[in-house]
Amino acid sequence: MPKDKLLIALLITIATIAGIFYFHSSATPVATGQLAALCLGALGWTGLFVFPVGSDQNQAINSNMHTGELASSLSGLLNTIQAQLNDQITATEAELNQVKSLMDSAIDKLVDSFMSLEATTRIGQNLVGHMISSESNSKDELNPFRDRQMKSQTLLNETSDFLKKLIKDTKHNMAASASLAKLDKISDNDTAKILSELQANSDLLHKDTKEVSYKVADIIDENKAIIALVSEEMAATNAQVAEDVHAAIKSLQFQDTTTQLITQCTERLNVMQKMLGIIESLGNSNTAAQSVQELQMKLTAANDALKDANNLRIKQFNVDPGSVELFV
Amino acid sequence: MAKKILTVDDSISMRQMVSFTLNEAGYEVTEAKDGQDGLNKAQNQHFDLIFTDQNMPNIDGITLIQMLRSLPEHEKTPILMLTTEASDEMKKLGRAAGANGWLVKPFDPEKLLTIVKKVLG
Repeated sequence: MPKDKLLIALLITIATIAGIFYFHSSATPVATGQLAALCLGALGWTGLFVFPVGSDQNQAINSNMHTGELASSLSGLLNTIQAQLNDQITATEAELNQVKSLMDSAIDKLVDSFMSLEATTRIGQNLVGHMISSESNSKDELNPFRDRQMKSQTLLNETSDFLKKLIKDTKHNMAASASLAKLDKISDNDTAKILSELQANSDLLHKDTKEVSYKVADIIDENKAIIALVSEEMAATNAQVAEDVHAAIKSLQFQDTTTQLITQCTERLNVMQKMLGIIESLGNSNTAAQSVQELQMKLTAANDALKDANNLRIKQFNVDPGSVELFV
Repeated sequence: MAKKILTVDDSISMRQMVSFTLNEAGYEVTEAKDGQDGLNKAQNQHFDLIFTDQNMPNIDGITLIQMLRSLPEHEKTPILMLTTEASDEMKKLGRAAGANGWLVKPFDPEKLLTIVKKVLG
């Protein structure tokens, strides 16, 4: 029963009891007065149920109050939705900027790594090219081995001439020795002459052999120097390649970070879609009160979902290496 | 004999980068695509060191560490987190779960190798 009706019923009951007591204590014939009070009370109760006195007015007042509350509640909820959507749009925008920043940083560094790798590879290729191509010596002025290789070549040519001469002298000596063996009888003068000639040839041979050994030693030194130079160049090239590859490894990790950011953006968009669905479902409810209740429940659920979406997990804006910590 | 390392990450590129870096240094690397895959592999094989990401489908990194620590064979296995998460709160959770260290992505290959050498002794 509505509160207003209860109040009227209470008043009628009090009035009836008061009437009975009044007639009981007054000069009026008791039975008639009490009967009249009881009839009036009964009439009042009947009227209360048959004619809903004042209820329309109260309903209208209540209805107006309820509509006001609803409007206020809806307005509040719509403001919440608007604020949440704005937050999500701002966060999505920030995350997309973060993705762009990460991509820019990664691509810049990858381009640097690629260019450096390309340059280093070219140096390595040239190095190998210079070593295997003798023609490049005369054409390429930038060949770091050109002078040493030319010097080595000259030494080789000279050594070859010496060796030819050495062979010739050796043959000459061998012929002299052979002719000596053929002689049955030789004079002291002849012996002295032949021995002198052999001594001279032997000295020459010794001298030539020494010179050849020096030349060979020079060639070995020159080639050692070339090998050392090549090794040095190759070591520098390898170090540069390793550095470039490591730089590329750092940069290539952008894929992981950007994927996580894009997933976050998708989560936010899902939440926004959910909120739009809540607004859309508002029109399908039977009564305004039901709508507000439903809206409140759904908004609570959406807010719970937002807790995760609002928690920005990815802080990286570039592909610089992160911190390293070992727990003791 | 090469030391065996398990790397658990849902990102293919991250797994490849970690594997490349560690293989180059002579370690034997096994990859797992998420926490569940990591748990399965760790249950069937011995590993000298485990790297794990935090945000992964099925089982996240911290839960994986808790599960691994409950296995007798991985009670003492060094486990390092390799994640984009950098908050102190998460680090505390990781440490409480049994992680031995925390590396924030992107990782530097040289630093990664230094840490691995240090952890493996």
